Amino acid sequence: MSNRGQSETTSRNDEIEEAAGQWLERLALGSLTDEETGEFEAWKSQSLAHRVAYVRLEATWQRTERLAALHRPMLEKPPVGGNPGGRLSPKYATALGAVLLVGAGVFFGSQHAGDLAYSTDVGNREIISLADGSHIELNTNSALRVRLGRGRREVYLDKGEAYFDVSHDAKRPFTVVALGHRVTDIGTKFSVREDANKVEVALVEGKARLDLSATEQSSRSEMLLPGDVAIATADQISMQKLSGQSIANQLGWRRGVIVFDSTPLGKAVAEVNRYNRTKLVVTDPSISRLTISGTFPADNFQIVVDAARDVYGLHTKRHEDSIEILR
Amino acid sequence: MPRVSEDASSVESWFARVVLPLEPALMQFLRHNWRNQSDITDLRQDVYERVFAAALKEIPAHPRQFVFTTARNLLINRIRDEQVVPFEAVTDIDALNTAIDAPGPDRTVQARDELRRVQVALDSLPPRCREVVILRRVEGLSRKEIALRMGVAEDTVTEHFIKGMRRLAGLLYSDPQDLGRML
Repeated sequence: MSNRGQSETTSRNDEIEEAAGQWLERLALGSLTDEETGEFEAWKSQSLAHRVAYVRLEATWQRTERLAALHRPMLEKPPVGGNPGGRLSPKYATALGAVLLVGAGVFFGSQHAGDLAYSTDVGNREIISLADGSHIELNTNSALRVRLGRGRREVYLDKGEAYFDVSHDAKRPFTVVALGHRVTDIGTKFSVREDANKVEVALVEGKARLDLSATEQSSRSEMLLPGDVAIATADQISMQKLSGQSIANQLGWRRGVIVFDSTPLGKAVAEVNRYNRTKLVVTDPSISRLTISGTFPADNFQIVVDAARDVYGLHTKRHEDSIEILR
Repeated sequence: MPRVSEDASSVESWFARVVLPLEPALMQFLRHNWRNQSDITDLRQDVYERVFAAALKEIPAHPRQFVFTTARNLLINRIRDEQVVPFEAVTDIDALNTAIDAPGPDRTVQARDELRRVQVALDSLPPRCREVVILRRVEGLSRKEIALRMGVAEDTVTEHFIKGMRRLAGLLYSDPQDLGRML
């Protein structure tokens, strides 16, 4: 047992694994020319030992993908202060992350008044700790701004989805604004998702009030209780009551998963596409209607593709940045 | 990622999804049943090759059973081929049956633990290896940019990356019990 470690360096497998690592490195940190792609395929075809060693290392690399979301909060990425209405430009965001990786913690506690802007890229998540003790979890491809004032706290969800765990303060109401609709907490955990022209609010704990944007004379509002899911369009609110489990499933993204429960494939694909740059495409309505169930890692569309293939015997066609699912 | 053919690629993803998670149990089985511990990694790869070859013809309906039966047959053949190996090299071939029957972890629990598991594994890598992975994954930097940031040559970045991935594979697949202690 004690020579286990040494064996790694003396086995035949060692050389192959090293070579597999070389290929993975070239793909993961750079890119391959057409000629190199040919060499890579040839290497893989040379022996199953090559292929298997590569698959194992590649799977390992894939498993680090979700670290992006995990590590951001640990790096204490500071909010961008004094930038009203502005979003992080990608360039600026990178520069910021750079500073923080080496000097983690230096900016800790440097939140100050003014708008704080946060955003995430496709496939990423971020946990934001606010100075008032509230926490926000920002889902994939989302952006919001936080304005902490003396008399009130406001968050503007500019796109995407976020989960709010609000530290209640009756003297300082916490309001989330999305498409002009306002969700005001009354001691709450809830999520808000903005999608095209509608806003969906799911209440996990506590109580919150949803006020429709006051475009018309008579503004409408609803009080939400745990399990309530409200969908607000420009001029109306529709309410739905979900079980605790269904709400937990809906918030699966907080732990990096998407949960489907007899979800039509068309809808499932749209959901998966929120998290991945490679888009899944279903055009055949008879395929869209097929249902899928299970818990899937949000960042691994391949598993959904495999499920469609294994369960329904569907076929796939790979395009440059998309995968089509066909009969 | 380029693919040889749809077939090979679907076997690859099946392999990563279904077979690799069995690696801890497979390693344990091999260690228990083979005296010479320096053979273990090669034995594991042999099992993988056979399983992969079989899957190219047809994906096994009962992967767990298939993997362990393959491992068992491989060990038995080795004993026959290498007369020098004393028979008690295979100490407990019947342990195989319990290994097959042990249920796999619940899917939901798996998903929840996955983040933590990967994070802890990453934290236990040498700092420079870890840094390369983070600069790529969190900040999306290229090899060249990582080299600049870390103040090292690009070749050094490559070395750190490969070393890091090989160690990580070991932690995530072969020796999750080491990881368990850190969780």
